[in-house]
Amino acid sequence: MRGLFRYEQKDTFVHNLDPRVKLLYLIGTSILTIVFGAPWLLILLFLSTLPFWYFLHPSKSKIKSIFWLFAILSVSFIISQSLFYYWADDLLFCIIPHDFPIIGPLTGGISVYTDGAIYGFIQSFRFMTTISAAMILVSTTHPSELITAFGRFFNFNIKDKQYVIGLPYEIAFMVSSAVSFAPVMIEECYGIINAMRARGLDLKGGIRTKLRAAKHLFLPLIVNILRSGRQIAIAADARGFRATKNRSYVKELKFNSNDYLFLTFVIVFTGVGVYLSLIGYGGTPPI
Amino acid sequence: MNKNKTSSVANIENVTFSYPQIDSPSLTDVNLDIERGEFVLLVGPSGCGKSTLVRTLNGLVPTLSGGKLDGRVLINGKDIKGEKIHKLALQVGMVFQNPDTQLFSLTIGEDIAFGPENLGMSKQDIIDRTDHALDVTGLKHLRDNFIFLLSGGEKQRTAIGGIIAMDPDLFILDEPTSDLDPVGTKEVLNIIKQLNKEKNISIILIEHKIDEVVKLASRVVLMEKGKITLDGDPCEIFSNHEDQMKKAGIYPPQLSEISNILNSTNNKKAMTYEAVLERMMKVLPGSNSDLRVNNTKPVNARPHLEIKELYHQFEGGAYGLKNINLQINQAEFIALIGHNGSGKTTLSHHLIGLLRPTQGKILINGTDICDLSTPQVAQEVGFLFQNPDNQIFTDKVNEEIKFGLKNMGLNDGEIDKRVNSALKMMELTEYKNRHPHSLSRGQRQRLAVASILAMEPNIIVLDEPTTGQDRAHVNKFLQHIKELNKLGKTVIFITHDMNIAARYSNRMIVMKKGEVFLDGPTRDVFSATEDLYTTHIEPPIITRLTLDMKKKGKNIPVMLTVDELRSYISANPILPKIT
Repeated sequence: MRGLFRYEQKDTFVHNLDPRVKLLYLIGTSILTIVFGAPWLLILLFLSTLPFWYFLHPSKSKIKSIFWLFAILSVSFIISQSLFYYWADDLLFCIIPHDFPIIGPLTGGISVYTDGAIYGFIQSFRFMTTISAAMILVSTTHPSELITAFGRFFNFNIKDKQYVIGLPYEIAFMVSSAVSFAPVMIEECYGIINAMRARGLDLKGGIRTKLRAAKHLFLPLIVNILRSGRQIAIAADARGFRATKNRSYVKELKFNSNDYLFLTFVIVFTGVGVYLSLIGYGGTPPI
Repeated sequence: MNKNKTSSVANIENVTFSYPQIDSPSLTDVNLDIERGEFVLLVGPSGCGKSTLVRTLNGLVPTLSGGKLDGRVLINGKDIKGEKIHKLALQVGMVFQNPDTQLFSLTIGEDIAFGPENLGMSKQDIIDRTDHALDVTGLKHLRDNFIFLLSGGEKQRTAIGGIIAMDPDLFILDEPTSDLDPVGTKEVLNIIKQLNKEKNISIILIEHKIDEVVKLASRVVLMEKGKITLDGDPCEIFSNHEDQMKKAGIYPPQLSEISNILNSTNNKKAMTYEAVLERMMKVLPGSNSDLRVNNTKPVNARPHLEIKELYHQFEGGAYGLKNINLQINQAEFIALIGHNGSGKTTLSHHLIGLLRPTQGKILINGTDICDLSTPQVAQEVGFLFQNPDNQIFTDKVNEEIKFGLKNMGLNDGEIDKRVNSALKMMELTEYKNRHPHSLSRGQRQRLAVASILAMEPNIIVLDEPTTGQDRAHVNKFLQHIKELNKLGKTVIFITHDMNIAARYSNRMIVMKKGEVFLDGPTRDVFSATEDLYTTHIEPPIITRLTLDMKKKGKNIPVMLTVDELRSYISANPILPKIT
């Protein structure tokens, strides 16, 4: 499961897009999942995310876990909506009648409705679409690129001077160094766990054993984080971190033709979707 | 910027410094001038104040550290008191030990540009500086490579590149190679040499690997207890003050030690490899005497550990180990060597069940350990990891030792007995109620060993436990291990330090690309120089010298340590001095 959202380095059309257009794509798609009402539109919207997966060549195990994730989502929506859909009237069968002693009056009766189930099925597409689009963004964009995109969403030059609008650089730096340091920390965790096992601590067992192990993991991990944090701060200072408010950037975030193409697609796609929702395909209930 | 050729780059004048909340000063009345183009090797035992001293030069001390600094520090003739750290960064660059904590960007090119970007330089200027730094560090072809995929040496070169891009007049490197393997060390030292020779940049290098760096330095400075106690020409210092250096835990380079033994004249020429070789050819009498006293096999040798047709395949499909077959007898002291990625650690992790064979068997005393859990194997195999801080889990020294014993389910009486004897053996009894993290690194290392030894394993596996420590500490530590070895424990020791391998091991296993490449008595393996060079491993200098002498027709045994040379000379006195 944990591989679902992990960045994978590849050389594909989607990977090479500017992170900002991919971010816009995610935002646009998410808006559409909210404004669309017609079931066939929601299903189409979901299907529209799938071609991107073709570019990513996900591994078999990844496809399998995505499939399971979607199946679980879908089934849980179907179950919950078939029981609790407010406008439902197409009764399939009754689990607890409303005159059943004690529970009956308390719950007002529990029944399964066919139209509720269908509604749940349709609703699950809203979520699956957003998840699918988010996975496309995250698995094709390195975290630090994504942070650059947040930090410098607008980036332009006037008379040789660079202007940047976005998250403050300090925050972007903090997040990006945390992200780039994560693999080192994970390695360190494995190292500590290995050392515990080498000292005879059996990690197999109930929750108590695991809690005990976690307690012992804590001390070395915190000590290491504090030591490294200090070293990082010193090294950053020694290289002029925060020396001036007018920091310059060598790498200009610049759109190439593919980015413009994709941006046009995102705008048209979102625009048409919003228009459709306005002329009668929007809204939520009822079907 | 004042780039006057004759003036000094940095002056430290009567500097005394104390860290906050510590009574005794870390630096006491220190005076030091660094001339332009000088290459200073700064040495001294751990905790002597080396790092503190160099940090006064770029303002990290006292601006970031806090504390009280008396005296003056001048950079390019200007007092830096009150100067901003980022302003000083353009004059004094600093590279640290751990590459992971000094790189901030996604790719090499971006990281090198990090400093100039912070200073708000113009775009063209930054691009020029980055290109230049990529050239000097030889990383041009890797410009857009991801940093997290690089080797340790490449990471450290990137860090140096980031400093080159700041174009400082003085370059300070604080143990830049301690975390690197021999290949990485060579890469980094070559760049430093180039910066000094070609760009005339002043260098201050703090380094424990004296043999590798002494030929680069134009000056050696020894610090002890916050004071500079020796300062001068490397040849002069190492030939005339060998004893004082050794007392401070600094071992002179082997060439200088050998040339001292041979009563050579003390000049720079006499300390080159060729000069020492020539001198040895002249003055050493040939002899058939055999030095194999250390290599006698234990009388009751029995197979302690057997590895049969072991393969290990990683998740991605690549093989980490291929067809390993080894028989290791009781009380052997084995050095396991090979450069990073050759499979040493993968192999060692199999010995305690942290990794499982894809195929093959591992037998300890004839029992297959593949069916046993790591905690079960841990009662027979003690494993010491590289970083002591990753293996300290509790908040008290004696609790730390108890940790493993409790896991073994021993009774209280037995636990107390073992804790006390482990504390005693590692000389930690007086610290038994202290917090482990209040101990020095060397002491924490000893605590980690004590915790393993208390479990009374019969096989001890050590994964590079000596990196970044001075020779005195390393020798003391290994002396303990050697004593345990004499008591019948089998030792498997992973190291990059060939002098240590030569001095302590009686058998050497060299790994290459997941296979056992060479395996045999240490002396024989070091004699197979042709094969060794393909793995980038260089035997100790004394071994290379004696091998070259043999090649030139001298009848002389292959020596592994300078001590062997001493005992050889006492049996075969050197010929009268010919000058």
